[in-house]
Amino acid sequence: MDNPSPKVYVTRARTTGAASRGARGREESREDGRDAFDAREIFEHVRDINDPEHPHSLEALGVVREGDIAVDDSKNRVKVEFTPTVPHCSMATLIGLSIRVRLLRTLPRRFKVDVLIAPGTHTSEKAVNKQLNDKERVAAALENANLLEKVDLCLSGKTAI
Amino acid sequence: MDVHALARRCADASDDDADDACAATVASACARDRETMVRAVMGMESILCGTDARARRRATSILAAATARCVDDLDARGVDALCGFFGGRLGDHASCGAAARGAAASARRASERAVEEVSRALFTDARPQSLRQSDRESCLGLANALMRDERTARACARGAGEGDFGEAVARMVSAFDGEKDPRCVLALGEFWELMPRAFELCGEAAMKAYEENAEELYDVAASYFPVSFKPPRGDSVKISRRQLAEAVERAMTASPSFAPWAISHALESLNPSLGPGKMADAARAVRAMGEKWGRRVMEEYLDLIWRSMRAALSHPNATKMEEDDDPRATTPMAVMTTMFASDFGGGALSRAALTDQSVRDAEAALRRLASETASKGTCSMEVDGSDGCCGGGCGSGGDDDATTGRVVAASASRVLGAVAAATPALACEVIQVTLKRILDAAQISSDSTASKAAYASLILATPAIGGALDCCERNAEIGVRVSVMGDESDRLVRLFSSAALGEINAQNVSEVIILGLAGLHMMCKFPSGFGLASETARVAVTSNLLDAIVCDHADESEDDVDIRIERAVDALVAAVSHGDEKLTAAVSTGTVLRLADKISVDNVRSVSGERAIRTLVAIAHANEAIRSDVARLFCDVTREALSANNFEAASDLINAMCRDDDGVLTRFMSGANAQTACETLVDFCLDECDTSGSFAANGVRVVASAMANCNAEAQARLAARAFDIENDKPEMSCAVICGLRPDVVFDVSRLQDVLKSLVDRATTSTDHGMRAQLVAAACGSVVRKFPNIEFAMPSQDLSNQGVVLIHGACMRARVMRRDVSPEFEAVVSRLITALDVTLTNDTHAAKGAARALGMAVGFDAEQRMLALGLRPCTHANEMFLANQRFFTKIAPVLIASARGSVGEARLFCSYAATKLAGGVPASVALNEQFDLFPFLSDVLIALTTGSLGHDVSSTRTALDLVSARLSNPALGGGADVVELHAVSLIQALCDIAVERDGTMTMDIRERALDALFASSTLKFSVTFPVCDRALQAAEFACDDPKRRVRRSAARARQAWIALSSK
Repeated sequence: MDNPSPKVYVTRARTTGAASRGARGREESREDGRDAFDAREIFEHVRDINDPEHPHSLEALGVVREGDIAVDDSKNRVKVEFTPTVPHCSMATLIGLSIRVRLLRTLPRRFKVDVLIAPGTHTSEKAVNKQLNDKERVAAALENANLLEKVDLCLSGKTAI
Repeated sequence: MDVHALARRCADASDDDADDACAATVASACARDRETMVRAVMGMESILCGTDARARRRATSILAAATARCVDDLDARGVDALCGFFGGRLGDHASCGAAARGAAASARRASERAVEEVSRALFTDARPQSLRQSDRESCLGLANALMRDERTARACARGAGEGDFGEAVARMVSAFDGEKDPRCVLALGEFWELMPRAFELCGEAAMKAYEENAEELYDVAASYFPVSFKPPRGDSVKISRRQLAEAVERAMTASPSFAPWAISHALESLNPSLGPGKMADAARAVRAMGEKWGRRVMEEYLDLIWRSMRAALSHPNATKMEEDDDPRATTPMAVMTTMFASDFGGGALSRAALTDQSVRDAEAALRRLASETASKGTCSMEVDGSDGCCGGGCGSGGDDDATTGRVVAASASRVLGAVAAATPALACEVIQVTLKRILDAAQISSDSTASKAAYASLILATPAIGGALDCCERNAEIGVRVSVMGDESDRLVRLFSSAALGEINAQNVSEVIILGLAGLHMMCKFPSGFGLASETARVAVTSNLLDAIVCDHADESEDDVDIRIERAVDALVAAVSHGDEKLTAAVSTGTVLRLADKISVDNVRSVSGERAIRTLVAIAHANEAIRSDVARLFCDVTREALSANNFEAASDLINAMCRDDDGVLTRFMSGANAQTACETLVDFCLDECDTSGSFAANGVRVVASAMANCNAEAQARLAARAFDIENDKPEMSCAVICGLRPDVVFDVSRLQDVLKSLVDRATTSTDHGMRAQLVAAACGSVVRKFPNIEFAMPSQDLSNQGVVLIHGACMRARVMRRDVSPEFEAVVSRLITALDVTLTNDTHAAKGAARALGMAVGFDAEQRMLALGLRPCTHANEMFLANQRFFTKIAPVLIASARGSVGEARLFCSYAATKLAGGVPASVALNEQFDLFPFLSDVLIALTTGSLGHDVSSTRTALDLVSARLSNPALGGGADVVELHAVSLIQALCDIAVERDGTMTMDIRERALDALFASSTLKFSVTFPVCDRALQAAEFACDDPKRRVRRSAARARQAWIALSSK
């Protein structure tokens, strides 16, 4: 393991459906109007993804944060930055791939999704970002049954390694 | 048949069932008299001594059963002979178990010599470890039977070692050591518990031998601890982990001579890494040892016990519930807490806890933190924005001290909380002595909380207050009640209030606010007499809670504001609902008056006005006296708002008064002032309210609710007034009728005339909006509340919407009161007949009949006015399970009709059954006896395509039932039935999910996608043909305008993607 004892953060309770509070909750309960895609909605999709090595979610490990997600609904753009727990994390690519696959499976096709490592948080930031945002490489990775199995394990809330 | 022959035949039987039956017959025959017994024995003699092992076992078993029944009738010689026989048979591998049962039955009356012989045979000849489980259990049963009685126990101990007690212990250990079966372990626990007494009865030498072998004896029990047992699924034995743990605990605590090994062994398991279950078991074991062995034995181990407890208490697992199915499951901390209150060492343990190093460290850390000057807080490099601190040496360690302070405070707080939870006296000592000393050190006073140690003090004090509250709630019934907070009340209120108002500096202000509110909430929850000691503290706590509701903080998110207000309101509700009269008085004379000041016509819709209404509604819901005051206030301000034509403000207040769940007027008030205010408001509305404008709905709502709260005289007067204005203001007349109470005396014939007139107009008019609904509501209210008043249902065709509404409201009223009269049955029968379009050829009437039947179990959201006279806001109540009774009576008739018909007739019957199912839980609607599921797909498709019209509630019901069945196969309807209809159902779900023309609401689309998600669990052969369609629909719905729908779509899409990649 690259980081045998990562820091675990307190996770916030889900505030969706009937439990949604404030203006967002009121907006969600209205029949008319359109609820724009926002950072919280994207965060809700990726927060439960499991870390490949630890029995914690990416949210609990502070790998994904609502503040690191940018959404432009009108321009169909989503940008997710994630922060590996240690700069030399060898699982960064697998984590990024899991985030990308989850968003591929939950967002409409119109969105262009960028999954990036938060600047300055990983020693191989450039290389990993290039891998994660290269369509051909992502497609090739998802053709690999072994890798896809690991991604599916992360997405289903289990450790992959 | 003669018992001699019968016994012989039984013993020779080859069939086990016959064996059992015959054995019982022989045993009961033997119980008759001694001669029969002798004849039975003679009949089996050759078999009992024969070479056929199976027959020998059966014969021994029959003899044991017979002995158990007739041992009291036999003479001493006979009993001794039988006991001797069974003892001799214990060495026989085949018949050992049966012999043990026989010996156990006869030992009670046998001589000591015979018992000694049995004991010798049991521990030397039987070799239980080599027997099968049932025989081992019988042997343990024999051992326990011998041990339970003093006479036999003495003989047993002597016989086991043939006079040598050391040998006896060794033989007992070797007989039962290594037992694995839980049934036998339970019996072993009892044997180990009884054993010391047997040796004690045999004198000092025996006891000395027992104590010399105590380690070996303890080892047998110790091997089961900590208990790791999980009953297998479908276990028929039904032994729980808790039962086993208790049996092992009894064995471990059997003798004080076990103490040197047992205490340290149990404390080893008080290890947080083993999880809360084992920690709790360990704490229970230590507590049981203390209770059994007493202070003298435990004294030398108390220090060791406290050290283990401290380590356990500081771990998060101490406050987690043990994973146990037992209803007595608790947390390790709760068990340890009881040890502070124990006789064997409570005083010493609590003394050790309160003078513990962690508490002293907390005191020192808070003292150091409080004495720090402000400038010493942060390193200059950090202030400059440089990368981190200088690394030490600069003399600034502010943040480090704060962190250290919080950590040590958290550690000490758990100790204080656990001790405070033990007894009220200890709670007093914790708060008034230890916490006082620490707060002094932290420089927290009742006037100021500006100390830098305030946050750490808050962390320290919260568990102490929580523990004290737990303890006081448990002891709420004791006679002498003393405030556990005593002189510290003011200081603690100040500390928590400062936090609740965001005045304490911390990294996360929201967290501090929530902590502060939690503390104030706990102070408000103390049972009367135990809580705050001073009047100033009580006033301060309620006043500060109100401040916490109305104040705002910079950069606070809307979610955080909502949570803060919710917590503060909950705390105020606790203050008026836990029986502390002084605290309630502080709220009703202080808080309520301050809140009332914020409610004026101009202020109702402001932020402070909204919060004041919310708080008053919550407090009023919890306290009857306050509710009267609040009702009067709301009625008066509503009247003022209506006078000033401020309908928006009036609407907000009406909503607060008439909400079904917590509205201020939804329960009858006895306060004269409130009743007068209600009467004045009704009078005002009858005079002034315009019933044609947008405010009309709120106007009638408040009239009905206020009318329901008027006294009897006012009700009679207002009813007469309402009858007079029936022509000009029919809506108001209907509202007044809805609010009429059954105990009021009024002109019944006048009411009947008014109703007739209203019904005539409603059924002849083409307007079926609010007025028609109100007429139906008035009819329903009269049927519900005045069963003796005759009301004739309109006889027109059911294609008339007014007729349908009146039928529906009256049906609902009759179902609510569980009417079984012939008139009601006639109405139901008429509706069911109207469903059969092959007879009537009128689809409109069939649809109307289905709707009316559906209304019998509830109304749609758009039919809110229809329910005005049948809701809590007009004090109508429903009899328990009324809906289910109606459903179980009518649904089978409808489903039978649907099954026996085709085309539209079938569809309308299914539709009516679905509508009825909307009023009962899915588990009832989908019960196999109704067989509703096969009809749901037809109904859902018809509702999707529009052939049944637009019906949101029925679509919702059908979707919920489909979703419930797909998620839970146990709900009824076989898998084959589900699979048969699955494809058409999934296609209908997909059609609903992608609907964007407004016919399907957000709620319906969301439910359809939830059902689509549930359908992904069906067999692959079923899902495969529709997989692409489901994926397309889910993908399309992922771009739905509403977020809730998108959330469900994403879930469904992921589930179906997983299927498609198989």
